[in-house]
Amino acid sequence: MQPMYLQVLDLFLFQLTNFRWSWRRTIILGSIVPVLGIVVFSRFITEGDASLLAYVFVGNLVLSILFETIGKVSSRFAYMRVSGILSYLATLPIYRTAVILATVLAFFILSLPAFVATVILGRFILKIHLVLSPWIIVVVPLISVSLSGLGAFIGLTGRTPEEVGSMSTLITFFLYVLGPVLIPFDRLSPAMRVLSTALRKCVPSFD
Amino acid sequence: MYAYEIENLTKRYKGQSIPANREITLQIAKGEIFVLLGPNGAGKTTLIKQMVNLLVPTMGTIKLFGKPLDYTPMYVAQKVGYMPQSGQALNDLTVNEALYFAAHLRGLSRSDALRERQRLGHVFGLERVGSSVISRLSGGQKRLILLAMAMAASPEVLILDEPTNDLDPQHRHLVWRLIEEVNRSLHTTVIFVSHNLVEAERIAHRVAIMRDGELVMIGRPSALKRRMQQQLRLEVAFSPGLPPKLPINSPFRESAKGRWVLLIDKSEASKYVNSLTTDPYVESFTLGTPTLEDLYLDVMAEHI
Repeated sequence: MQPMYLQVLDLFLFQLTNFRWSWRRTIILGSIVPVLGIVVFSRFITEGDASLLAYVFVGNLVLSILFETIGKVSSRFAYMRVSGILSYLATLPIYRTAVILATVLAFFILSLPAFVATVILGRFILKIHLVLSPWIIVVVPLISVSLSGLGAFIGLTGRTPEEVGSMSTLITFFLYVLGPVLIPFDRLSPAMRVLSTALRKCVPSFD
Repeated sequence: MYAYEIENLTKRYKGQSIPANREITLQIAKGEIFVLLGPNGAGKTTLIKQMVNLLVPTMGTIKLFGKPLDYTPMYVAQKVGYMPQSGQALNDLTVNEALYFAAHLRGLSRSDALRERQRLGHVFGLERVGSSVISRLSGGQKRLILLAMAMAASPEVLILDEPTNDLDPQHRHLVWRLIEEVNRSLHTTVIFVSHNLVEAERIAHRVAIMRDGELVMIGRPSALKRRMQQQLRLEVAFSPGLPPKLPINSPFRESAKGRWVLLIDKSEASKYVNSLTTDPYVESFTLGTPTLEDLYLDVMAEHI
């Protein structure tokens, strides 16, 4: 039996090969949709208020991460279950945690191109000045890995790939809108403010 | 020494009133080639999925080399190579990658896994498609790859679910030869599910016939056939284009176009032969001992 780190490495490389089939979705959902969001929101929502550009930028970066983590990891787990990959892996002398860890790590790596593309294109479109914070090294992986974990949970618990897809879209939308990272809190509708406050109380890191 | 000891195994799926496996008791010796036969839905795949720990039995126990399965999941994975009936496991990888991962994750060192990949590619004739993505290959090639992955790192037990489905005759013979080879040279226990009675008769040390979740017959092919020793297999070919004129009330079955098979009592053979030699519709006929297929169809007919 291989040691844990070799199991994770093998499975990580195995999951990375997903780029062969997932690159179109990575480009469309992970980069094009957030960039389109930046274009649309910066023109029509900010109404000339430059202070809102930061919300547009951050909101769409978060959207990019959400698509690349929750969406892709959940559909990957649903696919692995339906196609028999999980069953096959279950018959090998490997730990379950190695499978989950490797998948989450691989999809974090796969989310980076879309994230970087959104940062570069967003900066170019919005013409804003960005200061690179060293915290990004900690914050982005933590967000990606935790959201990937949520994606793994949805993918493993959903009964069908369709159910998994619907659930991940719903949760992505829920987290995106109620953050609030795209729309400032005081601009949310009263009902959304209640939900957003509740969410912020449930997830303190949202403050 | 038994590879598997199964006792009173029952599996009932949630929401289903009829169990998929019902009180199965079975021992499979180390180094045995054991074939599970039975119609679709007989519970064969359910049984072997429990044997590789993919399903949890509702009741009963399974022991692998004396150790109960439920306490030793990793032990099973180390000892058993499993080939599923269907599935696209590792379909997104190239053939070389899949063989390497299978061998490496089964515990071989990197260099040994690379050598194993080369060996398996060679024996299964997959060298030409080594760098092709599996999903783009034919159904038969995918079966061979799944089998090669199961055989990677030479596990002590191989459990194969319909390994020769989708294979052309040439590759079917190759698989039979490889199974016999690993069994002979490494003393590997091979358990496989099949619908192909010819292959069961050819390579199995013992066969078991399942029906409605139960084992209805088990033994060596020759011993099972001896149950029909009072019978003969009569195969009749009728002239092309002419309707077969079958003796009334005879349970003939069509084995091929224009060819009909009937199991008769030895004592009645002369009666049939006399009748057939004077029948203008009969092109030819042969008398022989019943095959495993005859026995299987006989067992299934009893049920109907």
